[in-house]
Amino acid sequence: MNKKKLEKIAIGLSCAIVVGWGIFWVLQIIDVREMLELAYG
Amino acid sequence: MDLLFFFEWLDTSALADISKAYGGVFAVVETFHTSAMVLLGGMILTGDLRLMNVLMRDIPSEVVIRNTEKWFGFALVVMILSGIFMMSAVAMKLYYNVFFFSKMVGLATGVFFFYVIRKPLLNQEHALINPWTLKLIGGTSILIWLSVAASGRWIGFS
Repeated sequence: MNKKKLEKIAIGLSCAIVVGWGIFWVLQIIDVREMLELAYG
Repeated sequence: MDLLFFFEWLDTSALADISKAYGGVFAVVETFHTSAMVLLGGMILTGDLRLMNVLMRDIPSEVVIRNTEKWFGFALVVMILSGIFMMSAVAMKLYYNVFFFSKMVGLATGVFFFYVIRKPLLNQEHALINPWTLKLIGGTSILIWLSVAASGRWIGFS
């Protein structure tokens, strides 16, 4: 595969993974906050 | 695709007979699994932190990457083989555990990213690649493998 094309794919995939990872952890933090609110008000 | 048939087969296989009956054998295999995991994590961290220009700056990144890639492959094979053995002891329990599948998806993503993206890209001279691309690839790789490790630990707490 063309190296420049591969570099572009690597950048795109990396950004998607980093954003997906960020969304997952934000959702986790929201879940924990809701659970704490339910448990302790 | 339902993988229940595979887990049922593994649960009743000869491998499961050994892993369930002999605690000592399981413990030894688990030691290899953990050691391979440490080696794999070490190779990933060393290579990726070098790509991010954090450590071993006096050694060319091509040298570090070439050496760590070799040992990554070895650790991956040991980890998968010992992992299948360990899996056979609790196959049905794992089938119903969402974090096991999260770990497997993370592992597949990590292996794909390593062999299809990272390795072919880093086979060329690193000076030809944008330094920020190298940093992004290093950071992403660390994130993927941290997620695999976290999912693995999560199995034990679920």
